[in-house]
Amino acid sequence: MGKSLKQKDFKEEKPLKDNKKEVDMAKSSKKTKYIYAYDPKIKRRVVHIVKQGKAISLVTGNKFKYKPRKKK
Amino acid sequence: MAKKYNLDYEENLDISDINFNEKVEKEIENKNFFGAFLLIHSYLDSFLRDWIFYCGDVEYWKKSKDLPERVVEQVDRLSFSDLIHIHVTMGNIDYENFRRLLNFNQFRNHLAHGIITIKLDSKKTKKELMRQTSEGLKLCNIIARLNIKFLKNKVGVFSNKRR
Repeated sequence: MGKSLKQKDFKEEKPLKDNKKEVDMAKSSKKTKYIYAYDPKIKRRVVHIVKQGKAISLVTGNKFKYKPRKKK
Repeated sequence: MAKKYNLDYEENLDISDINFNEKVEKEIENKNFFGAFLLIHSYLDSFLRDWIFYCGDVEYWKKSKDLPERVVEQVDRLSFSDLIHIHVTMGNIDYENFRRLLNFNQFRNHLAHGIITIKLDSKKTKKELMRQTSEGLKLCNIIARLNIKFLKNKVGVFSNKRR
């Protein structure tokens, strides 16, 4: 039951090696992190983009300092 | 204004740490087929609903103080069917996935609205629940992938120059 549908399915398709632009884009996007965090402007947990230690709400643009969670 | 419920929430949950496959499989292992089906339907609903929020332009949201809150309140009221119609119209999902999501939701409605007379313990029902849950898992993986792809394309919008 759904054995083939694991977390690996989330990973993006590999970019074409001969297309330098796509490879560069993929490299930069590897550093980009997305988190679900509370946005006080709309009082809801929404997706934030993490950039240079700051999390920015993709809905309202609200920013806060981001500290990575310790994995259990 | 959204109601407050007594629930615990994940703080700063990394999007790649969302593991619905594992949670649904755990329910199936515990022979909770109805729960597994509802769980995957809820994940799909959640992914599709959140996607609507960041489809737009942040600058537009900034113009009004109360607009974001009002929009969020209205988006919360949309049905699953409304959500998939919006996404197919905006081109976020293709027609094939739209059709599959529509069928999946039709089964959910049939189940939810007819729960009084449906025999949840029968082999036939369990088999169908398993089949539909499997379809839900496939769809949820597709939506999650499309979602991340969409987010990565949106990175440019959030460049430092605009802020």
